[in-house]
Amino acid sequence: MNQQTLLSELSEIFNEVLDKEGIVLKPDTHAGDIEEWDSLTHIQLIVAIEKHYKIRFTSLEIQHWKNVGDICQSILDKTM
Amino acid sequence: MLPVFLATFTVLWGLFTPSFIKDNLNYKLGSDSFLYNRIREAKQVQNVDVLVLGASQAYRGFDPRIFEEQGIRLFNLGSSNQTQIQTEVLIKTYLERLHPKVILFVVNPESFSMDGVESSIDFLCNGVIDNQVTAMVFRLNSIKTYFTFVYAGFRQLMGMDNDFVHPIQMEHDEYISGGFVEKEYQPYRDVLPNDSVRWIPRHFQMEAFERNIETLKKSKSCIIFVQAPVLREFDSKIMNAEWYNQYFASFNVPYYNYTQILNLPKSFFYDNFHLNQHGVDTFNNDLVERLALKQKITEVTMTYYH
Amino acid sequence: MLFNTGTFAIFFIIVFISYWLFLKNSVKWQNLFLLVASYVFYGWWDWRFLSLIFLSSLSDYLIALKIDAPIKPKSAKIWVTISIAINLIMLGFFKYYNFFVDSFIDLFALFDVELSKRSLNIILPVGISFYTFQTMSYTIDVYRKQLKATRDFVSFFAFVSFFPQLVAGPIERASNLLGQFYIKRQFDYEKSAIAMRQILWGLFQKVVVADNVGVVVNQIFDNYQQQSGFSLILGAMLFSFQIYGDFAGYSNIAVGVARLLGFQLMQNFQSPYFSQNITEIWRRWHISLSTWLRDYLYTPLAIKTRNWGSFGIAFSTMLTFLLCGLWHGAAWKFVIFGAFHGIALTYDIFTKKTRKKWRKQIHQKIYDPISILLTFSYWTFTLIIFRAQSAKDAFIYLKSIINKPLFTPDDLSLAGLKLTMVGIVVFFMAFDYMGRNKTFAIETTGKPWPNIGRFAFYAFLVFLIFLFFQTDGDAFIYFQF
Repeated sequence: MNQQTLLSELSEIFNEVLDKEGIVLKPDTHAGDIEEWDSLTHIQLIVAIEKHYKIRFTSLEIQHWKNVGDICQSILDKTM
Repeated sequence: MLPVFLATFTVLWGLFTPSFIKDNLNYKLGSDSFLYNRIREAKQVQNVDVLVLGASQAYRGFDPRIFEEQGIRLFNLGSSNQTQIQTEVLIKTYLERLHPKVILFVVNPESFSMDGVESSIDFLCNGVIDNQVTAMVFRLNSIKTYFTFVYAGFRQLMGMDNDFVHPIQMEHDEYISGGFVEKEYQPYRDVLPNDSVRWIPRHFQMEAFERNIETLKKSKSCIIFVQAPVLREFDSKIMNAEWYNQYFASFNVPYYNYTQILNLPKSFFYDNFHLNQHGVDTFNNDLVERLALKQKITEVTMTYYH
Repeated sequence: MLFNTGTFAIFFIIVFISYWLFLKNSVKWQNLFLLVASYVFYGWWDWRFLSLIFLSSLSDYLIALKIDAPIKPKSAKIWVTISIAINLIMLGFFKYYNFFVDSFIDLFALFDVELSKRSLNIILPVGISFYTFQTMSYTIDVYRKQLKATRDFVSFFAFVSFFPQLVAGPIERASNLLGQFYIKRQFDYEKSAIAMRQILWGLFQKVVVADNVGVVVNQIFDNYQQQSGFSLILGAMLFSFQIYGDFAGYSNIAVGVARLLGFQLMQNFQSPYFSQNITEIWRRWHISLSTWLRDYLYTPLAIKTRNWGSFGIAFSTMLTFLLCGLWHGAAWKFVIFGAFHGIALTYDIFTKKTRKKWRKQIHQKIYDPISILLTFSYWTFTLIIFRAQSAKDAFIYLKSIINKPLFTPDDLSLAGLKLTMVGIVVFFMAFDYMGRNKTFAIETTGKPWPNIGRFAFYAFLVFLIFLFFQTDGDAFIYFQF
């Protein structure tokens, strides 16, 4: 799985959880860039991502995320 | 720059905002101490026999008519909640022209524990703002006094209240020539405090008092301290009454505590602090006798001619 | 020292002049001077408190270094837990010991079991709720690798005790404030002018609005059993403005004072009373606390309970706000206050989509003002619980609003005073609204005007501050004992 596929899959998940259309994620996208991405929806996104990829992140991993790129890395780490 | 703006705003605020607004600018023409009438009369009078200085027990407790019957010319320089700071102003302004032979300095403890702000407002609105009053304003250093000073000063400078006529009668009070205010008879109506009371003296008032006595001693007048009568049941609740007695005694001035001397009951008062007219009558007549006022007046008059 | 006293003014003038005149060329000396000044400021209340803040600073300084250089990865977790434990125990003991003991005794009393109370006369150290939270955020951030532990002893201790924000916030993050101690501060005339404006506005909020409105509020709350329904409602609403003026005023003065020393503190309030829901109020009210709770309590909790679905979210929200309430004071009424906000936020979360729909259906020009009014009403309602003497008094107060007659003849008494208060509030909120997107209401007021116009405006605010300054003390010192 490469990062581009990952980003488009994640964009879909974001669209669904945040009830929006046409989100295009880039590695440096962070919570400040998308209005609906707040502390609450953050949790919902995590749940959705974990469900989709059938993985589970640790609290420490989640707290270290600074942008979408970090999330991708964590996913890749867990699915490799 | 800033003071100019502040003064301008003060005047504009006083002129254009309704008086019910509760702020630090308190301007009111006319007061129940009738200070307005008293000051203007004092400016006309010269050479009295007896001058009374004090707060409300002074101007409501010494009836010039009773003294007149005994051939004594008495003038009252007192006002509501008057403190030593205000008495200082009156002494410096009127002592010389009034030239009294005897000064009855009413020394009731309450005046020592007040901050003097309320009386200063009375003086600014109802008196005449001159050098002495201005000095008082700066000595008090209070926000309320400063605001009222600026606004009242403006009004007096512009002559805005020159047409004002202060009534002689207000509700149940009547101004009597000589600086006295007579209250229509009413029975005693007041509440005695449950607990004990302590009048805590303020340093700056004590200092002003000492300055006053020093000034008075320099004049040729005979000074006498009088603690005007208060209701005996109330007096017994004052914890530091003895401290005040000793303080007044320390000035080497004859001191008469009339609460103790006459020990008057409720029928002579209309509230805890003030005699009704019957009480005033009793008190004044006793005073003339006990203090040998006529004799003292004669003695001092003699010294003026040496 | 309180901000609106002459003592503080003198203290600050000395600090300001020494700082910029004599120390402007050395960061190290500037920091050391600020540290000493802050300890003087804090010790002014009670010199005994200094030992606590010193200990709190020292332990977290050392612990952070241990976290950053762990021998085993697990030890980092142990160290951060120790830090949190130390801070919470300190806070818990000094602030909540009696509360816990009393509640424990009351609980057992319900079952007719009598426990003897070992009452302790504990003095609450000023600011402990603020600086323990501030140092905790430091060690947690280091643990989360968002920050490197510092070896700069002086800077760190100065960061913890920085006097403008020590006593009443804003609760700062090391990532914002600590770094500012490393660089040399330059005096900036423009920034200082803005800072003076902010201090002026803060003083206005505190002296003119909060202190004056508070007089009426106290009268109403102290005698709430004798008030009419109208009076009780008026008292509650005025309290909303009192607490806003007081707290936001203090924050503005703190930020302004810090700015005069070249520091940028975080904004603590953003016109909260024009919010359309309680969630928004907490984004605009005591921002430093709500973001702290979000980052260090809510988010970790929500992450841990993320598989509990809606219940997990509700649970995390409620717990966060119960603790938020408790943070404000050691009494049940504060917990209840928190509970009502937990409920409101949970409601907001679960009705987000529905409310969006309503907003479209009822035109937003109608929906928005109604939302603002409803939000303010709910907020005021919770503040009654906050302000009342106790939870029980709050309950009676609220019941009385419905039971008591709406108007009584007594309502006309002090009409002048009450009208003055309303006038002050309206004046205040007009500026609050106009400056709702600014850092503080009058940040840019008068910018396009000529100099003299601007100066007149500031002079007018100064005039109002003096005009409405509460001169405490009575005319008589009539001491009854």
